[in-house]
Amino acid sequence: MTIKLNSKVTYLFKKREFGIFLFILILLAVFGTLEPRFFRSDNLSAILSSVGILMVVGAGQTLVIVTRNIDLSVGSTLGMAAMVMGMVARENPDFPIFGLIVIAMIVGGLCGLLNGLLVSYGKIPAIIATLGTLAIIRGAVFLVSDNVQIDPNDVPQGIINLATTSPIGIPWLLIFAFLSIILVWYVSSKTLLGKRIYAVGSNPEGAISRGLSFNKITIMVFVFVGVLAGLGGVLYTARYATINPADVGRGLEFDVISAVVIGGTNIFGGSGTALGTALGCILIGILSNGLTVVGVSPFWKACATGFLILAAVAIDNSVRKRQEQNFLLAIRNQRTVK
Amino acid sequence: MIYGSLGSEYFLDPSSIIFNTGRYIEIGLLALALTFVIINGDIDLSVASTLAASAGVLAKLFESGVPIFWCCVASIFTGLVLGLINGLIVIKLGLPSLVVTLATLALYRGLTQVILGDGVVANYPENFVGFDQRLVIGGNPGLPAPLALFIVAAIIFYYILHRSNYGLKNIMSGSNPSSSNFSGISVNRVRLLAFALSGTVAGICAVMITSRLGSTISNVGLGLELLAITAVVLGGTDIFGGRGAISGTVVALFAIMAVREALVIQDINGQVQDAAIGLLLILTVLVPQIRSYYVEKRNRRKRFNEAQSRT
Amino acid sequence: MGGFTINVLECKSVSKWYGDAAVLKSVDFDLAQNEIHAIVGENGAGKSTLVKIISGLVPVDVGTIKFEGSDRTFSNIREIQNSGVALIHQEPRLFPDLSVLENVCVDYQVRDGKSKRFNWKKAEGETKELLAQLGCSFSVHSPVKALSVADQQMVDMVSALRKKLKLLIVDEPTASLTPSEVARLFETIRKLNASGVAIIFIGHRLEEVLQLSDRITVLKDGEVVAVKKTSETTEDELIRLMVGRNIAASSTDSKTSSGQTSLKVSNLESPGYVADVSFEVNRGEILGIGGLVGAGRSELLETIFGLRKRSAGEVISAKHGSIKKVKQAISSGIALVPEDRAHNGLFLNRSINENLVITNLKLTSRGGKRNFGKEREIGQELIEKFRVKLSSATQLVRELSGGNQQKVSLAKWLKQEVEILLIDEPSRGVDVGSKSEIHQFLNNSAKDGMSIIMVSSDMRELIELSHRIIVMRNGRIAGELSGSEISEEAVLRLASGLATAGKGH
Repeated sequence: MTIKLNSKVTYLFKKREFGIFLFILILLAVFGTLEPRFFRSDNLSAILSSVGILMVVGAGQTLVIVTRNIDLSVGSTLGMAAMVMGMVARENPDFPIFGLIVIAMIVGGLCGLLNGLLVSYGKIPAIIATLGTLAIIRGAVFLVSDNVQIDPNDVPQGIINLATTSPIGIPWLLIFAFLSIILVWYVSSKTLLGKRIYAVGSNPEGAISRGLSFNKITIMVFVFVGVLAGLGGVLYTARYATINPADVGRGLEFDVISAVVIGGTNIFGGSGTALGTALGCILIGILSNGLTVVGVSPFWKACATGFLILAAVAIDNSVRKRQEQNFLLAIRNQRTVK
Repeated sequence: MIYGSLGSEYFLDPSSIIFNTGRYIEIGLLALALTFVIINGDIDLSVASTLAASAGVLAKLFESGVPIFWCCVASIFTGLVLGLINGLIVIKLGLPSLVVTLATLALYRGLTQVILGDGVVANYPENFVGFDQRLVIGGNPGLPAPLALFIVAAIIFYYILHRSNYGLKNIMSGSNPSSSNFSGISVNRVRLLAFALSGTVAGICAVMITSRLGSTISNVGLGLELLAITAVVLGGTDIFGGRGAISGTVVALFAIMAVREALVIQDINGQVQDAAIGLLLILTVLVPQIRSYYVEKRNRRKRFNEAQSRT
Repeated sequence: MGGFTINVLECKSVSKWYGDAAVLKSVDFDLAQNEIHAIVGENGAGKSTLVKIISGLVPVDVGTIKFEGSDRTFSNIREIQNSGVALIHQEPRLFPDLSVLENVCVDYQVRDGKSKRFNWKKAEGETKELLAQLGCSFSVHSPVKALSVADQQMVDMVSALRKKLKLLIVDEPTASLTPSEVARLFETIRKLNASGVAIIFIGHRLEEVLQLSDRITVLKDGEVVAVKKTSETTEDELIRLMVGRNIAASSTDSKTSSGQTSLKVSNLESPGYVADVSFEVNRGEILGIGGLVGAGRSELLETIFGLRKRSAGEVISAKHGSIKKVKQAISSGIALVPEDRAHNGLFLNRSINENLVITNLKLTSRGGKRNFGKEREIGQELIEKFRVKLSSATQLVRELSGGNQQKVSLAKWLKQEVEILLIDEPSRGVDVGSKSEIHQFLNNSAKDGMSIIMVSSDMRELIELSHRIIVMRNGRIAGELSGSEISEEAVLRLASGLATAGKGH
């Protein structure tokens, strides 16, 4: 006898993303009324640009966290990919743009592969492995670049254009962001592989005993986020046109993980959606931009992000607890009554 | 496991290291307190932000004329309060400490930024600044005050973790929270105290860092939490709790110090130094895994042969 | 039936050791294609180990296993899954965050020649059909965590059914099911059997076993005691075979308690697990608590101890008054040795000494400061008193054998004055030698005045040790047995809700 909560459960699920969406609308309304400049096109495009990079990397991080892992090294990976690409571009000014993008993604993928191997075969907890690679890759950025930064004139115009144009009027940056989210959405909801990824996070021992290739899946998600971080490196270069070995990508992991958590992904794995992450990125982007435009000191941004994370996790937790209690109580009470 | 790396650094000139220890001692103290948090199964990502907020309180109070002594007290008190808040959120709301302290990492840093804004607070009294240069024992090379403080702190923490009831409860709570509850230990109280401790120590480090730098700005202590956590894990404490030692953290800290100073002397960039530490961290966790893999393989073969010989 | 039937499975001389303990001794077992074959035996008889070996999860030490006529070895889980043998556990291994459909399909393997794209529509249709066959009414899209245990078992079954199934093993499936769910399960099993799947069924409830099976193998202490055609045997005979002899209550010479009440439980209620439980225990008495898995016995002990939320009722100790919280219970001389020592009783990756000391800190320390000398002393004392076999006191508890681990789980409480000992499954996973030592300890302690409330699924243990037995069913007390009323049959009847014998409530 199943509790007839099917419709309620799906309703709650929809509710979560819907809740963030609603909150975003509220913020837009608030910021817009307080300061009409908020809706100016250049402001909106600034928001979208910063959100875009976050979304690309966030899409990958979502799957990593779903498998009960975490990747603290995404910022360093982004930096490495950007730096390598920048150096290639600098030495070969006529290198095809497409080739540069591919190089960046390959570099990112290799970094991800390293993480994946350490976590799966090396059995190192992801938090420690990626804490280590965070530092190692960043050091490698320094060594590879010889501490020489990539200047705007080294960056091919084609790359810079990615942030602003494309054949269909929406900048490539946004297209890539959108595609990343769509890809993760598709994989997680329509493919068997996606289900296996969630299974691994939902019940790791169960996954192994069901014969799912635990190691392969783990490596795959880390490579995936690495590749996306590489793409993020391209977009970062497009947006800022400067790659500084010390700064590039620093602190990105915090923003990405916050967005993923706010978007509803459970830090213990097994659940989370691409849409949620996308909304989380948008929320963070709007919040930080909005606060600045409205005139609130930018220093409140960090506080706001912190509160958002707490609120998101607390709400998720209480909803989940109430659900569980309802299920258990109903089932158990049946039995003691007989 | 890490004793090996220390050995390779013996050729260094001790006096140059000793006078540079100020920075490391702050990290070391944070790491000592973090050891408690991590051993009992939690984690505190917000220690650096707590340090910053406490330093901010110290600075602002000083700026408004409060005597330096009370500013320091206020700093320590702020750390305690912020640590307690972490603990209460984790326990009362039942949220994972990773996420909560990720949030407070941002929250407390934001608080610091709000308190200090863009400005710099300096002009601290002369007898307050430069704590890291004071010698407790004179001579060459002498014993700098921060190092002395660290040694004292390490001894105290050692006693708490390995020789007090609380310490045992802390370790057991991390080893198996459920068994701890069944044994009558109040796991929540243990966790709360650990968070309070890490916050308080952050507040103390805020005083130290202000003295060392002689000024306070809003990004003080940025990124220290990563190094502190690295020290704890490098020292052999299990990130999931239930196993670890103060001595490990201490040795790990000295190893980090030695590696970094050795690289500094060879004029190697800070980022690369961090990379070396990261590499050390991974190797330290990886090598035992590889070893136990081979041991397990050998055991399995042994058991199989034993079973065969029985027939 | 009769004549020549093909054996799906033939096990010959199967033996298995865990360390020094022989868990299976030269077991022969065979299974015909169209039969439902039950395996019964007491706890620790080796049933679970045998089926784990049959399903390929655990390698055999000695002996051969022939599946469909040919020798069989597995090198990885994929092969096991594709072999046509499936094992359904008591606790279904599912993915709580995924939907029913996703759970079922997640290990789908592309067979050569078929297209790579997974056809969800087709899978949905097939799964819906299977669920309907099993009599399930929930949607394939429900998240698995929203389902009851019985429904989850059905999902587990559907996952197994999606592969070509030749042999299905069900291990104690009815533990947490209501009678109607049990009926549905049996219906399913029969249907499967009719369609050509051989079934091995492990059960504790003998009337269920008799209802369902064609043949029954009785295991005792790792050996096959008998293989009987179900139609030719009775519950009594099975019990006798399982147990070795007719157990009556042992001589009652020293089984009289003082008559002084030491603990009184009134109308105790813990939502969902315990309802309206009242009883008293006397000094020097061993009160056994019987009942089937899921009856609420462990939960009762946990509620008394203060670990579980209490929604009504009282626990009153004669000496110390009302008991509400764990720390109170402990300081009032109550101790709880839990059922699951690995998760609740012990700290596996810590040393034996630490495990023993953690409950005795008041004795070994002063002002919060530990005294290692005293700790070693007390540790040594307890280790000697309970004859824990170890290589050193600093050894990790994880490395001890089951029996020694149980001794540690028990000993840690006994340095201090324990007036009321709550002990849950004293000899589960414990070797014969340690088991008798623990029993001796319990008896002696009772003689010295300790009250013992003992939960046990081991019938022999329950009957031999208890002065009185209360039997639980569905969270309530189904009946009480004392003196000559005590018998295995009486306990089983009360536990299963058959005709009441003895005092009812």
